Amino acid sequence: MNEKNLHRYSSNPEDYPEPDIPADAAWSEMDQLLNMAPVGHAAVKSVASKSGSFVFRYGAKLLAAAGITGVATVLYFTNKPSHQKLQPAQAIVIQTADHTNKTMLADSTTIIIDQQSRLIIRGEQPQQTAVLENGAAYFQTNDQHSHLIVQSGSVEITTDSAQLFVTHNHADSVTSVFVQTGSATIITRGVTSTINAGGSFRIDASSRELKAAPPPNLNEMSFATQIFEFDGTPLHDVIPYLEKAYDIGITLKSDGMKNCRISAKFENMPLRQILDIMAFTIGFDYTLDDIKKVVVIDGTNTCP
Amino acid sequence: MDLNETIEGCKKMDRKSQEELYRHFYPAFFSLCKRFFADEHDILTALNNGMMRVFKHIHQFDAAKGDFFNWSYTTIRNAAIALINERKTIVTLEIKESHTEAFSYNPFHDHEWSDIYWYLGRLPSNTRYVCTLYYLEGFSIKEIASAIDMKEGTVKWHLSECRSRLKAIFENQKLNSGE
Repeated sequence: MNEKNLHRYSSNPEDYPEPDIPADAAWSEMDQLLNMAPVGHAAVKSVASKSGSFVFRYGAKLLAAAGITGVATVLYFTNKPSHQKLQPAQAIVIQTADHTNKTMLADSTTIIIDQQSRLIIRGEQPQQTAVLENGAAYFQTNDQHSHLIVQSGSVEITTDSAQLFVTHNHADSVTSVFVQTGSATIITRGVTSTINAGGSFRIDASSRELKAAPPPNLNEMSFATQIFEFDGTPLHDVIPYLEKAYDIGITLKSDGMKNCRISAKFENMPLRQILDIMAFTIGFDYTLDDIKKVVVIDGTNTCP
Repeated sequence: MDLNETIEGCKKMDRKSQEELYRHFYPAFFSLCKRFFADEHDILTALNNGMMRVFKHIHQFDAAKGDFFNWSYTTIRNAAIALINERKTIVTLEIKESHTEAFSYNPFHDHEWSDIYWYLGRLPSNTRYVCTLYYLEGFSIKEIASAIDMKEGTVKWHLSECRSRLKAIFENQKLNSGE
């Protein structure tokens, strides 16, 4: 390789072609990133002194939203996947059973709610609050001026242009928050913290303090992201993730294959393509009925 | 620009110094990230994630241990590799035998940057990552396998795929130019 020709180790700007993105535009984005996280990537910054004003500012609006709730239509969505655009001045209770639910707010925020979860959306644009009472939800706020507030347990979260995974276990009152992209501001116990992309935290009911936690397994969010990462995962554990993410029923006819292991990462791939790869790897046949939303897997292969 | 002064300014989180440093190395680091990604958004994400790490850890830079450009180059490249790990799709296609000698010829030998970007753009993304790390960044097959969490056999498969695809492009070009 002619390294000199490639200028691989030259720091001289003139040795490189003109970047496709002008330096001004690139620096502008970098400048914003530095403003959001002056102490660095995926860091938590505590600003306790700011919390009082924050709670006051949003507290008044929340009370107003609660007033609206009293006269609002309350809708229940149970046991059915749905894709709905919310109308203003409604409090909507979404309680899922065996299906996930996808809801889009007027500001194009998308909320994907896991099975066996309960979430309430209160208020009206531009100030809406999503209260996760139990289960898991994935929030994707696209508007930089989004004012959505996410509440769960003792935690209050605001974001702009972020992807956020929140879980709340009603039984032990543990809330976990993972910021996949963008950044989020979290208030708990009167303390405001900023979490940047990659940051993962949990809050126990007893301490009510934000504690760093390992990021969730990609499969836990796959119902919303359709990104799966299997590492020697038995087929019978793989199937429920696929069923949730693609809202389809999968039947494994042969018991001998349930322990066959899959090691692969699938990102936003059509279900048929995933099944093709798994069928090739493990050696099974399948039928996919798009209308009945059923997959049947069969084969003679046996895994111990 | 006095690089030492600028680095000292960055250590104090001085935004003007950070901007100066960023703009000075921007063409080199943009070029580095462009080898891995076709999408402009991905290029800038990798570059800015890397620069964020540079600014965050700049106090750890020790001039006695090496050149600042090489230190920051490695940091940006690591950020690009982290993004590759987020973007890549794992499909287990492998070459089991040892074909290392078959990869010794560098298909990018003597090409200019504009040509290299064009050829890289003709490769599937996973093959492009492997190909760039091997031929342009000098990683070994073992190092690539470790960096992007891929089996060595799969790395070899991508290198083989890269060479066969480029060979077809080169031959087509020769035909078109009437050589």
